[in-house]
This record gives sequence, structure tokens and C-alpha cells, in this order.
Amino acid sequence: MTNASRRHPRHELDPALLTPLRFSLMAALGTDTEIDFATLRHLLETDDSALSKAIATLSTAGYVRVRKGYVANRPRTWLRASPAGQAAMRIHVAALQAIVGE
Amino acid sequence: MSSTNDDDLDAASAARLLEAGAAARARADSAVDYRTLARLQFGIAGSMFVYLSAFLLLVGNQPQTAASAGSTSGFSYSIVLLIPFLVLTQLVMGVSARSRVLRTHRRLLLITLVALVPFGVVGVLNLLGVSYPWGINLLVAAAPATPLIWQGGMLARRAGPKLPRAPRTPLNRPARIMTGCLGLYFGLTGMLAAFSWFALAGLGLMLALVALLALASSRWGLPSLGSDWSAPEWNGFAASFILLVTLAVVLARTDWNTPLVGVVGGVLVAVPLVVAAIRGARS
Repeated sequence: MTNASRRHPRHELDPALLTPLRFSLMAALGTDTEIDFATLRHLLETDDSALSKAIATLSTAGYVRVRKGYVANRPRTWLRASPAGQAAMRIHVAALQAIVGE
Repeated sequence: MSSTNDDDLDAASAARLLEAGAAARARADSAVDYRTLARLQFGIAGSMFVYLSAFLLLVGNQPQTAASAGSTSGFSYSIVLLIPFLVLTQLVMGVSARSRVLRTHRRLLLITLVALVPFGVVGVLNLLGVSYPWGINLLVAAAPATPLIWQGGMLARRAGPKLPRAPRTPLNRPARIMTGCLGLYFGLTGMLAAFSWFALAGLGLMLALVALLALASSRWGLPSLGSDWSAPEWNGFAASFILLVTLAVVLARTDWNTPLVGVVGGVLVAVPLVVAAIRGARS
């Protein structure tokens, strides 16, 4: 066995994805979904402030991409997971599953 | 969720995180309006097929007997096709924007781009004057539309039961005016195509399109219009689109390339959208 395979799965956990809100946000976005801010807030049962903070953290980590636009002259913000975010989520989920399976 | 620190994340906490993630994913999935997305894919596929097949029909290498004396400049008529297609892409952006949860299909985009390669090959063959069976044009036009139709079918299969139709609200003033203007713009495009100085007029029409595109992010922009439209306006657009494409083909490929045909055709092209604008005000 290599050193890497002996490491405890918690070492693979990503700090940016450890809060339930940020993890759920990334899970909702998945690999092929773009969701607008208001819908995300509703889906995740949170408020504007908490969601904005979660998005800022994930955006700083390069895990989400933000797209701004207008619908009927009203600003709207859409989010989707970046390739880096999708990869981080895969590793994070695998680590969580490994912890559950221990 | 009680534990969020990697130092004390036990199996139960990890399981709860995974469950929360799965629930969020399921809720996001249920929020997708598959019916609208499916309609969108079918619409794009249909218009792409019409556009590409008509384009190849205009510029395509056909037997001399099939072409009229005025068909030597098929490329100049392609502007008539380009205008409604570019307008459609902007309108579709509006419908996409109205959908709060969107699916991204990178693989589909790649497949569609690859399926457009035969169109490029046939275009080069036309430029080189190489003749080929006419039916190839239809196959080439159908190639990029096929993956879109397949994807539309997949989305339609996931759509839930059809909900009762909500009562229609009248179109707002900017949407009403822009719908009528769009009809008149299409009509004028078809009308002018019958005149010998269309090359010059086409430049003006393209400038008008650029002005329309510049309004994209405003309430008067095409994306906003697309998001405001409902079935009657889309039906009107489809009718005007098909009539305009048909008129371009008639003018380019038949002996009916006369100002009278252009004027009558232009009026016919404008009618569906103008009627939709008027009816939209009364809804």
C-alpha cells in the first residue's frame, strides 16, 4: 500500500465544501445545471445573506461561476459549478462516502 | 448539521451531509422546466434545419434549369435568411433566461458543432462549383438538427404532466411595439429583396439588426421580448420566419423575382407578427 492510500479520508475533505449550505449548493448545481440566485435560495431554504456568503467563498475558491443578466429589465444572477468545483466536489463526496463506510 | 469541522466529522455527520446534498440535487432536478426546455430544443432544431436547407438551396450548385436569371447572386439573398435566424437566437436567449433552472449540454454542443462540419464541406464544394445530388443539402441540414431533436425528446420524456394553462396577461407596451416592429422589419426585408438595389438596402437592414442587438439588455431588447412572448406570439414568429425564408427561396430560385412578388410577399411576411402584436394587446 502507498502512503496516500493509508491516509485517513478526512484529509481529502475540502474546507470550502464542509458547511452544509456550501455542500448543498454545489450538489444542487451538479455538473450540468445553472440555477438563478432566487431559486437557489428557495431550494436551499436559506436567506440572501447566507447564500451570498456561501457563493463568495465558493467563488473565491474558483468552484462556482457567476453569470449576470437581465430578464424583463430586472437583473438576475445565475450560478453554475466550474470544472474545478466539479472535481473538488467529486473528491469531497468520495471522502465523505469513505468516512461513512468506515 | 451539527458538525462541520474536519477534526470531528464522524460517520453520522458525513452521512447527513451526503443526504443534504442528495436532497438539494433532487430539489434542483424537480425545479427544471423540462417541457419549456424541450420545446426550445425542438424550436432551435427546426429553425436550424429550415435555415441551413434554405441557405444551401440559395447558394447551392443546382442544374441551370432550376435557377432563374436572377439567381446568380444567391449569396446576396442569404442576408434575408440570416436576419430572422439571428433574431431567433436572441429571442431564444430570452426564453432561456426566463427559465430559472437551466441544463447545460456541453456534449450536445460539441456533437452539434461536429455535425455542422458537412455543412462547411458542402459550402466549400459550392464555392468550388462542384456539383452533387440535390438531396445531399437536406441531409447536411438535418445533421446538426438531429442531436438537438434527440436531446429535445430526452427532455420531453422527463417533463411532468401538462399543467392547466394560466390565463394570459396582455403583452406589455414595449413587447407589443417590438413585436409589431419585428413583423414590419421582416416584411421590409422580404420586400426589399425583390429589388435590384437590395445589396445596398441589405446593408441598412443589417445596421438595423445591429441596433436591435445593441438593445439586448434593455426592456426593448429581443431577449426581453422572447421572455415576454407566449404561444400566439411564437406562432406568429414561426409563420413570419417560414414565409420570409420561402420568399427568399422564391425570389432567388424562380422566375417570380419581381417587385410585385416582393411587395406582396413582404406584406404576407409582416402580417402574422403584426396580428400577434395587435392580439397581444387585447389578451
